Amino acid sequence: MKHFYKFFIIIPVLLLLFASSCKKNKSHKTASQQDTVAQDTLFTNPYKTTVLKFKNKTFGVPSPILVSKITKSLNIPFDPTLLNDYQNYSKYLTTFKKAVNLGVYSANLAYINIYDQSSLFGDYYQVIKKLGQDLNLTSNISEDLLNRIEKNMENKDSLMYIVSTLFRDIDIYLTNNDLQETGALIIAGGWVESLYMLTQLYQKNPSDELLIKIGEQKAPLNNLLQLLQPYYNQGNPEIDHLFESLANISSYYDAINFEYSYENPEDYPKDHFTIIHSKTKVNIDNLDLEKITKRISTLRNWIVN
Amino acid sequence: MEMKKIYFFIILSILFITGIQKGYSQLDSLEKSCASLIKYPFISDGQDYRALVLNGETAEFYYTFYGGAVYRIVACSSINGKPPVFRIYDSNRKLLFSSEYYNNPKYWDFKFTSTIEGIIEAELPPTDAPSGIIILLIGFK
Repeated sequence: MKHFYKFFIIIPVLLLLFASSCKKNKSHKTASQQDTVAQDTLFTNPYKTTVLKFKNKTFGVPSPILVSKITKSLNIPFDPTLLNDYQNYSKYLTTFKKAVNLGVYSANLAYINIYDQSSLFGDYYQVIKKLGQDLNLTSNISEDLLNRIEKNMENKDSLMYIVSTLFRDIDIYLTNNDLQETGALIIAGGWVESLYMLTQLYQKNPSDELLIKIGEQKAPLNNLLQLLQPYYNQGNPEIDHLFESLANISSYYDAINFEYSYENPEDYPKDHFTIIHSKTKVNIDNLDLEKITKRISTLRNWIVN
Repeated sequence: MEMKKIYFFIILSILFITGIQKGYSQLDSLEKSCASLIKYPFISDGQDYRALVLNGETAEFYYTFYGGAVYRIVACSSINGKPPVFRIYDSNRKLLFSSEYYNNPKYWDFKFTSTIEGIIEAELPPTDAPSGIIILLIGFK
């Protein structure tokens, strides 16, 4: 009977130890994360032990959908040779390759959808679904959401809305389950593919607008490096290579000149709407562009092969 | 007496486990109510921005807003369904928008005429709670 009694003391204690060990695992990482974890332990989080928080700073990377919307708005024609062949899927054996190529294919899917290439949509969606299953992501996503995608294959606008919701649900699942590393790799793959597409499209369709969009990737790249930094130098050579390659590209971006000027915003309270008039001017020369184009192409080829 | 202690620890264990479960389901319902405000024609950017903050502390979200796009920022907190206070600054820390001026709405739409690097700062609404969760969702069209 005494053992039985001890059992019930042990349950809460074990649960507490388990929760604290989850935090301990995180503290093996970078100094900045150690600081954060130390701060986190000052109080009890009633929800999760795995809230995304790096010294209270979170970094966002623009969706690949926006990049495709921009190229479409510039009347640049669809180029199927830019896509990563969906049959490459079987080459991706490590978690790193699966996650980063899930990001690549998601950028491809956005490109296909924005340009209304519905004949390609099915193959790319199936590859994304398979990679999601391999990474054990889609089994945790609502079956209803997946069914809605399959039912709306012909409806471009609904499809983009549902697919972006799917990616947000995946991101929430990854955050809730302390798998932010996988989430960061998916985002990295999507960003690399977007910049690869922009630079390749510029070779065939040069325009000032496209050049500026390439230059504007400087801040998202810095945010991406911040997002990946906690996983750098933690024993995964693939992540280290990705991080170092991105840092190398970032060094070329340092040469690009940005001029920012503040303008008063206009608020429309009744419509819950504000127009931000501040401006950024980007000056990028051909030599910098050439270096960025070459490096992003090398990195992208390493990711997809 | 021995049996009373056993019951006490059974109840303690159940309360502990249900407390965790409640936390999980509260966060799930918070996510859902926040996500319901990103409606078509706005499309989610596919990311979930969260921070666990102490009362009085601020969380920062670094984000690039593309020129020509219209963004919807939805802000939610775990404090009694009240939205957090959120502000947008440019890269020089010049204030572009503060939700305080408009009674802390749950969402606000922004049109950017040029691409800018923004910082979204958020803090818990007035509360006695020592800490809480802030969720930001971003949609665009």
